[in-house]
Amino acid sequence: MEQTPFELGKIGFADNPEPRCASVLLLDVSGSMQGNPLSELQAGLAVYRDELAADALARKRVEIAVITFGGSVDVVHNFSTADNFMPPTLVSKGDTPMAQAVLTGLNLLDERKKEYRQNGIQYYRPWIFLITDGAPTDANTPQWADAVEKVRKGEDAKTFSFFGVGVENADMQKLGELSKREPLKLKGLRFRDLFQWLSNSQQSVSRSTPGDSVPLNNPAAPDGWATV
Amino acid sequence: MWRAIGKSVVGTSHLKGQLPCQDYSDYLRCQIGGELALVVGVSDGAGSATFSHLGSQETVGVLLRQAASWDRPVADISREDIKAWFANALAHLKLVAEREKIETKDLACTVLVAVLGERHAVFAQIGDGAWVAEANGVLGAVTWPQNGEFANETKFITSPDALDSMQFQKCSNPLTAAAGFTDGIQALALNLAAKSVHAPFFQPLFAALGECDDETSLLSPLISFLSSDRVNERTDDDKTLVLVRRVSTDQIRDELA
Repeated sequence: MEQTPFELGKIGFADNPEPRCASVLLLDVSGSMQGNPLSELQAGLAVYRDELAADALARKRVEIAVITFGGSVDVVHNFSTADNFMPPTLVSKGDTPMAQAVLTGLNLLDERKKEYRQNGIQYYRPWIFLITDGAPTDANTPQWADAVEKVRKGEDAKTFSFFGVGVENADMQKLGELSKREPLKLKGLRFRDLFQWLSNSQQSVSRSTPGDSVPLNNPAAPDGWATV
Repeated sequence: MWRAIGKSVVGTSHLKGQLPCQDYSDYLRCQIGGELALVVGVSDGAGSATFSHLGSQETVGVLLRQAASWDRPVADISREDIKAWFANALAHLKLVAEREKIETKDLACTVLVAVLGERHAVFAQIGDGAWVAEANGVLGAVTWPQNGEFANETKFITSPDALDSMQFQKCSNPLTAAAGFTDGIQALALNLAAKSVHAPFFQPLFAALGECDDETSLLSPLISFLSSDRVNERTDDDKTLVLVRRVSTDQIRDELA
């Protein structure tokens, strides 16, 4: 019998861009982060990069942007996929313009989503991750109320997931105003565990298909990196 | 007269997680309102629904039975008729859920159905995956994957507004070929940004189906293709591909001679 199955080599595949999972890191680099907190945070970023880069799917799908706030708000790393993510060197300085950082992050995310839509790139629900050891020094400005409202609205409409993490003497109450989810208190300076968790969670999300539930490990479990 | 070949193959992530294949597909030839027709059903069970492999099998089974019992020409099948079939499939899933002592949403799955007659054809779908069809040498999308804002969101037959979101297309141009598939195949077979069908994916497949002496000889090559590293590099999900192609009765007669 003649064996003429499909000539598999002839079947051409469409080359679609990978769906993306945007991850915005809002990092407090104000004066009080100087020393151990900042160096541990820096080490955590390296863990984050290494973990994502080691995952064949996540490295093409998770896109990271880093915004620091300390004296000023700076987009120190614009969105890139994890395989092109170079953790920026963090330098501590100044006060804590948290609201302005949140608003900058939301704008950056909106722009990115617009680019996804324009290019027909599918995407997962984005993540915004804010880490602070202090209290917002712009809490009495209109920006604070604006940031609070936008984060709440975004969470309610499920346009993104917002996580607030407090380090050491962070003002957990102020952080609670921002995040609908209960803010998490980092145990000690366990930034590496935090970023390990973040990369694991985003690896799961970035390979999920319709109908998958993506249960996140509870970071506040006894062996987790946080308390609530 | 239609030739058909199709299969659902388990994805590598399901193998790793020891999950069953949640995709299911089947087809049958039957007399509908005096014409010889081919009925195709395809379904993708939701990853989060524990019994979705059962949901996809039961849904496809009900729909094939519904379509086979249609007693008027294919041309008469309307959107409302197919909605009624889907409503019956959902009612059946509720019974299955009762029998298995689970909730209906544990059977969540997408659903794609096609009835291909001698001249007319109808296609319907809830959720992602798609139908493509060829007429006058042109291959185009008949339905399109329904995703929410995010890549991991879609509709299932068990979703609250599922029937309202149903896509329906009736083709009165005689089709020469068609294919239905689940989201595991989507990124290979469709240009998602351009919202077009990636013809180089289908052309060799349709050609093989047209040229073969016996379509069942294509089953094992199709399974090899769907399980190949080349496909698995692009998707770790379950994948279903059903291909159909019209052959004229003359051609069959020639082959028999």
